[in-house]
Amino acid sequence: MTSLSQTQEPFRLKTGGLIDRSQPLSFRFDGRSYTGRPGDTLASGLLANGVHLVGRSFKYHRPRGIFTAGPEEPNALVELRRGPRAEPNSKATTVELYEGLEATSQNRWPSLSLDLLSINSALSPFLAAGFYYKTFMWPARFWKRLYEPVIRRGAGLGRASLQPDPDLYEKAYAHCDVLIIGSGPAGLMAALAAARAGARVILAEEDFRFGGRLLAERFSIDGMSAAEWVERALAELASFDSVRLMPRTTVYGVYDQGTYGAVERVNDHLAVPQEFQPRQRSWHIVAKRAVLASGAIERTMAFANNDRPGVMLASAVRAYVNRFGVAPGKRVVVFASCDDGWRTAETLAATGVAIEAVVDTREDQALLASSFPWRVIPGGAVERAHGGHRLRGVTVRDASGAAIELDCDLLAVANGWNPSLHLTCHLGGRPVWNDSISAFVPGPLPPRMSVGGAAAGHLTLAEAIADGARLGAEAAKETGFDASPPALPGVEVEEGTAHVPLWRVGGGKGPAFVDLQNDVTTKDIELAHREGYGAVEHLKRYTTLGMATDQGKTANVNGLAIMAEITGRSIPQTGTTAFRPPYGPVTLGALAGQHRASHFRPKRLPPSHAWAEEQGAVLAEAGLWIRAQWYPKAGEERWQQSVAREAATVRRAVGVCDVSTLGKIDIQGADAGTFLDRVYINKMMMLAVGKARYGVMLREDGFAMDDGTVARLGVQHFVTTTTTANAAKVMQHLEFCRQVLWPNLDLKLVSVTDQWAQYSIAGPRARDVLAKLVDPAFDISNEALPRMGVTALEVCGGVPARLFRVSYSGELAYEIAVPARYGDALMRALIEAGEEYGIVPYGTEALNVLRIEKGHVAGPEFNGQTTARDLGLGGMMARDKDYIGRVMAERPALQGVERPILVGVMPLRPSRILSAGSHFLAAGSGYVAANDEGHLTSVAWSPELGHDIGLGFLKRGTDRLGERIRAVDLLRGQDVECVVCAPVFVDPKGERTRA
Amino acid sequence: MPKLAPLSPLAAVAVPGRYGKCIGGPRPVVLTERPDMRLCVLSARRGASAQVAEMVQGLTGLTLPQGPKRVAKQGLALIGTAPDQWLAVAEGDAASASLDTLIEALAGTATTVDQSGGKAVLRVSGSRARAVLAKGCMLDLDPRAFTPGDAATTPIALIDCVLWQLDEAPSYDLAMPSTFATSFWAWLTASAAEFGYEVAAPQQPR
Repeated sequence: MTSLSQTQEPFRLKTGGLIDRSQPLSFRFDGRSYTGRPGDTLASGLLANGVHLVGRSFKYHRPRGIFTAGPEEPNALVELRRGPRAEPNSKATTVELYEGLEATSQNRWPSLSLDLLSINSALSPFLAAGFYYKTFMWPARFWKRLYEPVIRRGAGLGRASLQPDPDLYEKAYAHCDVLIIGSGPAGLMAALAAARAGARVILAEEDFRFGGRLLAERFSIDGMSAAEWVERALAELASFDSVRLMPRTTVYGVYDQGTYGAVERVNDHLAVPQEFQPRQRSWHIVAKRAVLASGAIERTMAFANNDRPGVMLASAVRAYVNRFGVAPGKRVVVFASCDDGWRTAETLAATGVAIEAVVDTREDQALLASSFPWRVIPGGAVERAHGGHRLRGVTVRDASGAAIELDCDLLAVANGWNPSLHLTCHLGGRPVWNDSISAFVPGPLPPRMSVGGAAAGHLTLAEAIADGARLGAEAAKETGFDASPPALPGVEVEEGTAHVPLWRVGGGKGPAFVDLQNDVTTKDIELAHREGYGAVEHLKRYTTLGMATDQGKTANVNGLAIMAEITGRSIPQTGTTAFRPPYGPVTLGALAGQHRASHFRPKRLPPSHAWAEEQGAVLAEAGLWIRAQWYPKAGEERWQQSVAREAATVRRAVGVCDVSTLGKIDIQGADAGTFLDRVYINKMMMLAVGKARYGVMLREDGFAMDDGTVARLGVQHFVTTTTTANAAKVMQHLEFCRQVLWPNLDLKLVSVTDQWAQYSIAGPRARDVLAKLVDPAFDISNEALPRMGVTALEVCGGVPARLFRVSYSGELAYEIAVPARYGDALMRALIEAGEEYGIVPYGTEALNVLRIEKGHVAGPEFNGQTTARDLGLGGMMARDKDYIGRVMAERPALQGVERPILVGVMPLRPSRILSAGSHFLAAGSGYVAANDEGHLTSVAWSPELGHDIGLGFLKRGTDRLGERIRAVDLLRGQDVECVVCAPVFVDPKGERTRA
Repeated sequence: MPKLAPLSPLAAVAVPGRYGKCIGGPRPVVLTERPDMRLCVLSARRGASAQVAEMVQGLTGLTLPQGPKRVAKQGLALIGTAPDQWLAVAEGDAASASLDTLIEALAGTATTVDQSGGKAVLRVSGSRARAVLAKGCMLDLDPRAFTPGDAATTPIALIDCVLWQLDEAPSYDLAMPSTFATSFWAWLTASAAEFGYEVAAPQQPR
């Protein structure tokens, strides 16, 4: 006891451990201040201050303490930080202590020591597995409103902050010859072997300190302490340019082709991340070979009240003493089924902690007792733990059946080890049972991965070192390096792995927990068996064993073993326990990286973007594009006013709209015409040079895919446009046709969408505006450039341009294209030139109004379910050539007269408002699907007509012009009487475009 | 009649100066927009690969690369981007004139499509350039795997890029669709901030 005399941290040992005693770190837990040291985890800091009670359990609100010293921790889950940075369910055993750390306990009310919901614990006999579903079945409607909310309030762990995360996250890619996962003795040796051979090595370690179990044991390697040996190995590794050391990095998943997912906690060990740095970084590591050296997790045993704070894994006790310089108790009982537990007694005894007794489940261990100075109870078992917020003692049943009461505040439990083989299962490998260590060891491994050390079931230090050296050299050799295993360092330790696991101890009063985090007891497993859920997958789902945030790292195998005992089968007969990614929880922020909020996906800015912003345009996302929807003017209170003004100005004077977002594809080659004939329904080969034509293309299944214009710039040179939405899809389709279907055709496709800024200038004064900008050498008169004419020319003193006389608005209209860098200047020049004619910029909303007035089909009509015939474009389908989709479009069902076809509709009373999506119903017919006659796809208020108009698909529509029909929208509660009309509302003869 | 002044895709955002960590210290990352470069997609017409290679060799002295490589001479570079397809990049007046000569001579044998406005070119240079690019580029840019003369067509931060390495500084040029440039810039600068970066003054757009 002499070493535990410090006042601040009463359980801190005077010497030993990998912490910096010279530097106190202050931190708070549940509002109380404590100090710890650099090198501590939150758990070791709390233990140094004698704090054992750290949380309440999930279901029964039982007091819980610190059970492990690593990532397998099921109990000590706390809420870390406050405000927007609060992180629930942080494992105190892995949280690195920092100055000013704040943590609070979870799932208790009003406080940790007085938790009123611990009444659930008294009710525990009634709250067994399946209880909720069996009890709260009736009346059924109570479940959603009453039962579930109440249950949810009682159960559960931490709560998310619900505030926006203020920190940065990012993704990164890394490549290596050999990825080594874990930096214990096997991992370090593997890294040394591969690095010395010259391989590019990544050494990923979940902990903030490299070394694995070497940090927690009193090993001696090559005549030095294990910690010193680790430091030397790290120094050597750091000296290689080809080695990347990645501490605080958890490899959480194995994916195809040697890809590994990892998350690096770059700044989690600080209250606020360092400036410009992310909190976490998610890595895609591509490795030619991987060596898994992830160690093993010690197991517990199930006995009554085995969850009391003060019951701890024996290996964790050693870690707290040896690595953190903390004595987790004053009077200790060790409960072991293996030699390993004895090491804990030795470690503790060396620090002066009183060993009350070593209880060994094996009777023959009695022989060993003679050489130890403490009480040994061979063939015994801890039957029950006593105490509430802290362990006070245990009842032990000895080999003769007599009960022995022992006082203690710490019980160290050792029941063998489970290899941390999680990653070996990620591509489908199933673990296999190994009788000699009574544990599952890796089965078939993912391609190009090897596994060594404790992760492979080789539990001694000497084996781990030998495995690492061999596997590291092998991996380097397989990636092309001349490698041989390095000389093995000398290990002076004799370790026994003798072990007879004991899974449960009956007889004690109180729940015996198997899954500490999900509050699953031995009784739940028995119940599952009685109720027919004996299969391991059923057991898991019925009891929720292994389904908590720790994914059963300390529970799965024990649960399986107990089910095996109950059913009288062997463990391998009962089943296996396999794992999926992720190995540990991964923050969504890390997976998203920088791609969140407005950076969720890349944005595309059209050439007039800066100018549109200056004008105060209202912008909207259109696919990836940011487009101006309308340009509000002072005094306009509703968006409809701006849109109506813009559309009306186009009809009356002139407007300009950025249409650069249309996909533009440059097609050149001797067979370009042939190619276009095969992809469009109408004929393109005979299109004259200097002319453009509207075209429609179908999918292979005969449905309409996209439309646009095809312009012929030269005999072997075309440029086509696609809709904004389908640009990438059409380019992909055309490249598929070119490369796969018709590789013999001579043509090339190049996307020129970004190369050209393209503006539509529409309205009676369009030519007047353009004439002011086109260089005098070029004639754009109606005669020189008639409707559908195309020409290359120069504007504003020699800037190359293309002029297309095409109209979407139904007015005299042009599209002018200039190299993208002149786009901004050209927009400004057009506005200036058009000022005397009253030019306005118009956005996508006015564009839509104008096209609906003209009955031009667009996205709402090209919805993937309509054919050219449905769109009223059947007449364009050439009969004397073949093209993609022709045969399938001729299927009888697609020709049926009952199939809805494009029509226009107008409300009978002009004041009525139409809504897109309304269904067409005949007068007097009821609101049932059988009466559905089609639907309304596009709707706009027409400034030209002064009322709403719409386009839609109606059964036998072309035969029903003038008929009355109802547009019914039950979602908005509308039932509007309409008149069916031809889908062209303005200038039906198309005279304006020829002006 | 108004004169149209060209505007580079990053003009609004790439403001010269020092940003991020260690302002005033070393320059671990230098970003330079290169709107002065002329770019042109050049692809051999069906069956004309050998003829194109021969003409290019004769006119420029450059051996057309097969595969993702870059060759360059006197400011004119040819980068393999697809089978029978290259990106021609011209820096400076002399190279620009050679490119014009090449385009004229290849008419009928190869298709040439101007992309000077269609792509933004960014030079990323400096001791931490690799670490910055690794945050969005899936390719291995380690000197053992990627060296000056190597090129790639690959998405970086979800944006299609043509990438080529110029020297061992290392310096890389990234050509991306110009309408994506500001989005790319946001990713690039956020990724470079932890090292500190300098935005160099761009050349005049051509």
